[in-house]
Amino acid sequence: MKSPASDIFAISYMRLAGLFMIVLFLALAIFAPLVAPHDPWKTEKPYLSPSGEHPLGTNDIGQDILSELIYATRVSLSIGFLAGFLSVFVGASLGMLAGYYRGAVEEVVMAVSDMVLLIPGLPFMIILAAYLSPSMYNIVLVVSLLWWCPTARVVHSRVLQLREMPFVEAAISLGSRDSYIIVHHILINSKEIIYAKLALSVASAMATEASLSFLGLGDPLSISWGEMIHFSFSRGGFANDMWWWYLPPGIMICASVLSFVMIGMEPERMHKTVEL
Amino acid sequence: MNKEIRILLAASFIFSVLICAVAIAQSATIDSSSVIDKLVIGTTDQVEDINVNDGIFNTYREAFLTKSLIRVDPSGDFVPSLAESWETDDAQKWVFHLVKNATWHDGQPVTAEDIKFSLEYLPEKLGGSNWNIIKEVDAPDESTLIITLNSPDSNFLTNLLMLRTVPKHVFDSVEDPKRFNDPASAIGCGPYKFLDFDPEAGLIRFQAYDSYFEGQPSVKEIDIRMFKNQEAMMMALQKGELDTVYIYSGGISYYYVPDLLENNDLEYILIKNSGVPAAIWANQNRTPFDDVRFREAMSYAMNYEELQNLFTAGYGRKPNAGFIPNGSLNYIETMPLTYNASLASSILNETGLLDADGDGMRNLADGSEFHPEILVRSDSDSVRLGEMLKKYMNAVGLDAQIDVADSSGFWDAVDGKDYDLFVSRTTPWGMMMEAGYATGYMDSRSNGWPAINDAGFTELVDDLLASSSKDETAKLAQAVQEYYASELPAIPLYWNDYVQPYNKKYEGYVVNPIHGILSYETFFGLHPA
Amino acid sequence: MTIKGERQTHIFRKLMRYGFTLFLILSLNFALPRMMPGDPIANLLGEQARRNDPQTIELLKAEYGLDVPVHIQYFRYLKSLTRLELGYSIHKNSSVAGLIAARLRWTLLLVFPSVVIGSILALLLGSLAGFKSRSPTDYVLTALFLILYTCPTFLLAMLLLSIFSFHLGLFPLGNLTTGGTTGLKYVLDIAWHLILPVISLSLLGASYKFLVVRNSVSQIFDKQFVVAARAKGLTERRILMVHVIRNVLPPFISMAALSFGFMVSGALIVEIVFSLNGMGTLIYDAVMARDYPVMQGCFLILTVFVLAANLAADILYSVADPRIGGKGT
Repeated sequence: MKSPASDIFAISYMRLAGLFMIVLFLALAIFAPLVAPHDPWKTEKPYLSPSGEHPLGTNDIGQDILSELIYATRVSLSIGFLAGFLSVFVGASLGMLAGYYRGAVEEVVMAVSDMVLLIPGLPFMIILAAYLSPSMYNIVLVVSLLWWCPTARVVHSRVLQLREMPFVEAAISLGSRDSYIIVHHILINSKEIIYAKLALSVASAMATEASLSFLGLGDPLSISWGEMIHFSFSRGGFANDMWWWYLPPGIMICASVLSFVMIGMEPERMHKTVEL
Repeated sequence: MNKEIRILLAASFIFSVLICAVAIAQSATIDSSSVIDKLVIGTTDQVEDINVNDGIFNTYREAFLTKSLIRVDPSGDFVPSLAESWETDDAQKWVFHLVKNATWHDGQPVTAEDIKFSLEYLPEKLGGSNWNIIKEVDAPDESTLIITLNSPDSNFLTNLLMLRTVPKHVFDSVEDPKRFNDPASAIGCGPYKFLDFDPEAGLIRFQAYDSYFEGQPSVKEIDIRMFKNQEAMMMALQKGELDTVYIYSGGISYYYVPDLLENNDLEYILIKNSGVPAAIWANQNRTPFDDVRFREAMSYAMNYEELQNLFTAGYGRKPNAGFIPNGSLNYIETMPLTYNASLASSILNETGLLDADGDGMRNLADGSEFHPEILVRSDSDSVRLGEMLKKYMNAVGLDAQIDVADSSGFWDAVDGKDYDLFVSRTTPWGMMMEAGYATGYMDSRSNGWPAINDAGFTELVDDLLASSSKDETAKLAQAVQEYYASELPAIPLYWNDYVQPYNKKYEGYVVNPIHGILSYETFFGLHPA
Repeated sequence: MTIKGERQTHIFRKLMRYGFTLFLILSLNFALPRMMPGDPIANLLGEQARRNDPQTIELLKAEYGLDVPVHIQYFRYLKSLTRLELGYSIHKNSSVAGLIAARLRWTLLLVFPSVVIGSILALLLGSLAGFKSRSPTDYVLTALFLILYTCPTFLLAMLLLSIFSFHLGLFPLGNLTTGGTTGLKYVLDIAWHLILPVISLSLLGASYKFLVVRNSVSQIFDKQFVVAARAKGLTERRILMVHVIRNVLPPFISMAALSFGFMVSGALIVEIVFSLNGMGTLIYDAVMARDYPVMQGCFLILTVFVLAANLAADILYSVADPRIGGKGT
């Protein structure tokens, strides 16, 4: 009979591996100027195949792809983090308020979140993204607008559980202020859930941004991995079989999303978070 | 003569006859093998439906489905189409003498009434400021047509190129032609008639019209296969599923050329683009863009060599200041645009745009920050071009910013003159608009992209419109190009040739200035190699 | 209240909630396109319109109802919806309902088989992996599906197109048919064109479901009743199939129905890469051209489908699992 302990170990290994990869990506993003062999904005001969000088060749305007890839880490990660944080912040706040105060607040928040969950994600985001001008912040906004719901629901359930617990009841009867209870008791005890959801939200945000950029709705002036693939598809990289141009960013997207998923994964329940 | 010899003679005679018959039969089959049963053309231009309002289907109408009074031959001259001859004394009253044996695809004869009907019905139902210049149309008899204009326009035949005649007996009863998708709406009088349209397969088929009055084309059927992206289309061409490709006013993107060159079955024609594929337009309603020295400085800041390398893959040419590409009618040599960053800087210094706050970027004369915005469309090519331009302007101390807008937003801004600078191409057709020679783009009364506020230029355009002789037109065209060269309302970034690929199994493709390879010469002259 | 009565109330409340959601989405659908910058008329007239032909513009505005104040537009919108009139597309010059009707079937033809195939694949492989939890089989399968889960839709689609269509020439390069066939040949032709798109979408749909099934199965496998079943002397295979899957099935079915919305999103990208004439490309074109009626219509239809799928999932789940819908068993 397999022991529960081996389960925990397995999850821990996965979490560790994920964390390790995230640290790597962060390092890549922060130390990009040191790691990248060239200035990614410098233009030279276009469409070069991989060589010693340019390990991943050059793109359509002669920029070094490897350097571009490294610098794109910053953009993809920032969008992911910003959107992830924003959606978790909004979601957790709403979830906590709904769970703690119940009543009308709960009804409204849950109803709205149900409604938003039912909207087919990508079509809606395409429509929104096309209205707003193609900029990084608009993408963050668009992605967060839909992703706060899973967090809100999960936090709401947790808060409902916590509410019934003796120490909370004690705090209430002691006459502590609501805000104190929420922050010191509820929030503290929800943090694992929130961290997990944060990781998954970041993962979803990065995947979504990649899709939106591929469709040409991203910010063409801040090159993310998705944007790189977009340019490779629309400027001849695909037709000329320049796999060194579109596969590396694709792999980076997979790897970064995977690493966040690995941290955020819970053994009991997998949540559908990545809508592509 | 004895019996044997008689038999021998008879046998020889019969034998010779047989041999001749075989020889004749052989040559007959050789003749019929110069017919092409089906020409498969790939495109990325999408047809929604076959009504008279569908822009892309209309390109096929103009090219071979129906006819106008005149058409354009490969050298750009106007040649007879439904009109076998025409005359005008004052460029205001035009008289056309029509051919007498043209028929519609349903067998009915084409008369002046049909053309008069088309000239009244189509503008009424579909709009189009092209036709505003017409005052009235008369059809005194079946084969004469008189068109009277509101004002003289020596370039009127260009307007007529857009006439897609329709049969009066079909459209007389059609209230809303935009929703009329019945096959009858595709009845024309051209060499090909409409066969069918399969939207799921992305396939339109046209068949040679056997009663066409100018004879039988050698291509019996035209299949247009529509693709949603150029990648898939080029893959199909590579695999031999397409005989050739067609992109309205364009060619294939240059990054497909290397693979093209490696494929032994494929060849290509270079088509001189009579439009300007990329130009930067300055808004003269704003300072300092209204200062000709600023525009001059900008023109020296651009690295034309690099732009050519990156965006034309060697199929382009460095532009001249006169804007009109060489090879166009009445082209004159003007000063070539050159890259000279230090000259650009010194001219900018003269204009008073100096770095007041020491941040390395120039400020306006009053010391405030200067961020010229370059408006570009959000497609990849434009964005890349914008990036390069920004780089060049940064290099001479101008803190240029790129403003990316998608199609709708872009055209809104352009229409509302809400830009500092923007990047856009001109199409061959657009160059012919209004008085021709890009005046349709430059004149503030039409597109007015540079917002020119110069009465002298307006006068020049009017003179061109009223011009009554080829010599006069040539002189005025020259003056227009000189104006462009000295005032630089728009700076062309490169000129180019389109790459028109085709499968070598057929030869005889001929390029028409308006319709590319969809020319009469192609359809009547194409043959197996 | 009887259990039946409680369940009825529950279902009624659910219907109310869905109805309310539908109404909100309808209103959102109306408001959103109008908040957009850009004018569809300008797009319609093309380059010639740059000359600002105000008369024609006014005519078109009147024809398409853009000249009346917003609240009147809203009432007209609601009224026309009751008649299933979704308006007329300015850009494509055809009725929106007609456009959608023609294209919807292709999206559905892409999505339904993908949902089914993806679900079956996930169920079978997920159960296998969960059953053989911690074994090499499990690791390999889980790793594979994790990668599929994180792989962007467009990348997978592009790779399949490049490898199987272009390099190996096994499948067509896009579009729905090659044209000119009827009857059985036509059906087979379409099937051939849809194989790669369906594979792409199925794999992506299966990835998430696989992970859930695997986790569920490996947990349930540890539960008591399986030990009891073992004690009864049934073989392992019997245990798996009969007991475990039966427990996984109800949430799995509802999850499959819920993933419909996700599949529709994925289908959009697959359609674009494979040049299929479905709702995805329709929405994309409409957005690029600022075609209000088409955008509204598409969005509405898609949302209704997703709502219906979710409602079905909800009802299925409460019917399948007697613990839901009332207090007590």
